[in-house]
Amino acid sequence: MRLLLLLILALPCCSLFAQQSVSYTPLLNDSVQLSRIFQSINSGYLADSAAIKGDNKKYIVEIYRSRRDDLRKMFTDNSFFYTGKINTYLAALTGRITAANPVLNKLNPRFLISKDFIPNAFSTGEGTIVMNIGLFTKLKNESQVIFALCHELAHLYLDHSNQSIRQHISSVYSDDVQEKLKALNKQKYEKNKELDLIEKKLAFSGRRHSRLHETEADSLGLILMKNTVFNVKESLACLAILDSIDTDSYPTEKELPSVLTGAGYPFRAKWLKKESGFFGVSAGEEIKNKDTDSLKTHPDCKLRIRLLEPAVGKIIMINTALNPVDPLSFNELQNNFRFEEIQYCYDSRKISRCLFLALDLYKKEPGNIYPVVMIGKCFNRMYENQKLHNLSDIVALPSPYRDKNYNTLLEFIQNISLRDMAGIGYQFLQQFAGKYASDAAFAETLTTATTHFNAH
Amino acid sequence: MKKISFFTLLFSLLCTICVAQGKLNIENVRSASLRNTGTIQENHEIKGYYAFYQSDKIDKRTNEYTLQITDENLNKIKDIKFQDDKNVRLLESAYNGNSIMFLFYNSKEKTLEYRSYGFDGKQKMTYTKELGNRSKALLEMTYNMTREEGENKGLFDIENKGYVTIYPVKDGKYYSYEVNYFFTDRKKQWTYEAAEEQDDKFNSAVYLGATDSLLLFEVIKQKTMLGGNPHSWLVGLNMYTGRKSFEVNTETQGDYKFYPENISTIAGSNNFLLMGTYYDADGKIMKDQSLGLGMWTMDTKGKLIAKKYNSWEKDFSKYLNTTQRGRVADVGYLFFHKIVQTDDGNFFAVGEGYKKVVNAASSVLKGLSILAGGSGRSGSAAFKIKVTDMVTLQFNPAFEVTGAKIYDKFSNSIAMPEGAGYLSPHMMAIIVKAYGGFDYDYTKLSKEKNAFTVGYSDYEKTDEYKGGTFNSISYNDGKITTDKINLKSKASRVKVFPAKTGSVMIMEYYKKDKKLDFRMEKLN
Repeated sequence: MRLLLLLILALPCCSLFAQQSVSYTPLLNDSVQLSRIFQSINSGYLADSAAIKGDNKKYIVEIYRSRRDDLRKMFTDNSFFYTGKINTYLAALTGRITAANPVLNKLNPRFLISKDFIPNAFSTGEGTIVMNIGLFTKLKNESQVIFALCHELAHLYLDHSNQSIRQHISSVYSDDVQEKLKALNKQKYEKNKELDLIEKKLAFSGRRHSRLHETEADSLGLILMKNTVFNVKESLACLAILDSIDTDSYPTEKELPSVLTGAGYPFRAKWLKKESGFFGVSAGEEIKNKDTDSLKTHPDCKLRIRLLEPAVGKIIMINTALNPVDPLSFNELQNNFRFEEIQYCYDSRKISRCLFLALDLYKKEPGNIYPVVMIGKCFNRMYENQKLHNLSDIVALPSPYRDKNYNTLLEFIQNISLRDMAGIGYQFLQQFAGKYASDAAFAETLTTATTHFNAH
Repeated sequence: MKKISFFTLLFSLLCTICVAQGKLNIENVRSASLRNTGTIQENHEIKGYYAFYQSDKIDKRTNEYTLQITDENLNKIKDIKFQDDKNVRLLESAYNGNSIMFLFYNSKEKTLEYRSYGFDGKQKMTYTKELGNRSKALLEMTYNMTREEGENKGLFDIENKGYVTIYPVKDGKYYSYEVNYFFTDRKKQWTYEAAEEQDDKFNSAVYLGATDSLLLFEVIKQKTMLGGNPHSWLVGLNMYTGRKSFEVNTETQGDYKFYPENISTIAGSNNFLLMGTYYDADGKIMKDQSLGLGMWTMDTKGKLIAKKYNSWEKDFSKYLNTTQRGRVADVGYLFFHKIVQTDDGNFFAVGEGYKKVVNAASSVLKGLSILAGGSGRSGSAAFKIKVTDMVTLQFNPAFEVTGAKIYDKFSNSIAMPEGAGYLSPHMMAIIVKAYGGFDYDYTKLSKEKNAFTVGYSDYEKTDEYKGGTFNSISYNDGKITTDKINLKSKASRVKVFPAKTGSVMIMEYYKKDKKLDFRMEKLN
């Protein structure tokens, strides 16, 4: 009797518990602030362009304009955040760097967080420093974020980007090269062979400068960081993370068969069949390694660690901390950004990447409704595009140059038919129908998936 | 829909780079032009693509060329650079698992050159064949004819073993053919010259396929080019020695005259299956229509072991409204482009319908000519061929008919040359094929043989849409599905190329921007 009573009491609790789901609402941007930021970028471009002197002004302005246009596109595509929480925290973080390094004040840097999933940070050269959330989410503490930002600030301080532009323009439009190009323009035979030689020489010089710039930015970045309360040893940890950052950790081949299977639509082994390609898959890997080595503009991170280590070792740290600003906000933003990168991929029509990230989040947070809805939405979107023969607009093709785990997902997408897309998406959502029925986004996604499924 | 030749289209897409005003930069001094692009096939499956560029001029007679190779997903794999005569043209390519073979043709030097490259981009083998004037003309005729997109004509891979090539030659008074085989696991090659033992003046051969040790060809022999009665022979060459293993007349082996179109190997056996149309034992291919589709099982000595015939009259009439002479109601006669066997043992024959209709233009011209005191000869026949619907026929492993389906499409007409009225429907279909009049493009069977895609073109004229379409009939998971892609877009030209099984590659050319886009799309 007592057991029965306990059971009766426990049942509504289970049901209540089952209906609870953690969800996520994407952050809302302050478009007015973003518009102001772009206006300031544009004013900077006009002022910088007007200040250029010399014969090659036209060509330098052309590159400045294209840099401004690239940034404009990022603003138009809603690639940047401007929300109270993020910008307050970012200002607090970067404020520590500028306060400790008054020499940076005249640069008047503007810091932006981009929604891009690619683990990267960059300085555009005209005062803007961007950190992608793809990098922010991979770093372990505030000190590592600070080192990445200090590195980019060092590029800005040392004027590396503009120097590279000027150096490139002055090389290509030098009297010597112009004379050669004019002669080659009239030359009938072996014109391209000689152009290749000029190009190689210029590219070699550019790459040499680029590698040197990275080493310089590491050194100066460390000095800037040293003046703050952040832990400088994390500069080395940050570089170590960068070394393996392109590897995707979601084990697609192992996970897909259990995640994307439903009572009415069991997973089929042939969906994971790999295309053999030319000379076998291993050959593709060989190309990948060969090309990535030869094209790398950054020096190897391991080498950068070796070069930076002695300087780090000499720094005596007093009152430093890993997370001296606001560790709670750091963790909160890291958490939010895992959702935001999925949302941004979806909004910017990078559906295969969105699906990959959503599957990864689903594995990490199986009780969260957000990745469930996004996985369903990805299958719906793929179905709609596939029906109109424009799947390639939203889905990347498999390639030996990509990470293995992401590539496995791309091969899976290539192997499933239109009917499979409808079936897999519907069955995946259907298993949560009871649990998430009251969620409007889930219900709408399931309704669309049901329509697709019933069409076959 | 009349198709534009692959080469004609791509030769017209030459990339030109204009020189900008003011100072120069490297890119506006550089000049390169795209000669052509094509598919790289392995066992009829698309493994990748090549783009053949002229990347530099070396001297008055020599150019530098770059062969850019991509995989089936358009990922760049390799650039191969080499110097060659300025008149060189790349005809075909194939991949056999350990090398890629390219067939080059030099019209001025009258040479055919076969070159194979390994994964490292290094040349593994080269073989040059000089052609006589008449052979050159024959070869050009073969390659300038509108081709079935994605189907090689003269270069075929033998998995991990080598390559077989076949091309027409004119040797003395004989119109003949020559077969070359290149081993890729050893530095060896052999040539088979059919003219050496030829009796009839005109012999033409089509490569059917290979078993573990045999290369098989259907050879049509005739005394004169058009007037003679053609006879079909099956020739088997030993893959390792190049010696003829057998040559059998397919008109006298069974109860009927048999004209093979495809071969299929049998798992676990050295025997092979031949599929094709058959005629009355005393019938004439030039005048009569086929009685149906047949299948022969043969051994490595060319001995007929088993046979099975399906007649239009009895077997197909259960599924199609056919007449005794192979005419299908509303569709007309059937011309078979391909017969494939899937991994479950079933067979599928892919055909296209055609009908003989009155050529009104020719009649008017003839009438005007007579009125004007002429002889009434107008140069074209008084009738034309109307190409109608696509048809698939399905057979079980015992080659019994199990299904048939007609796929509607818009018809188009091809004017026939004068005198063609005396030919049989089958011969007329061969002329239509040579003219590029059929809408069929290709059939691609997956390596595992569990899926295939048939591609064909159409030109739709409805209230909703007017323009070209690419259509597919796909077999996967035991089911047949169809799909259609409208080719009207913002691009100046859109063309669909064969791709890995279940996909197509869409090329879009934007004339204003001088931009060529390629994208891969899955079929539904």
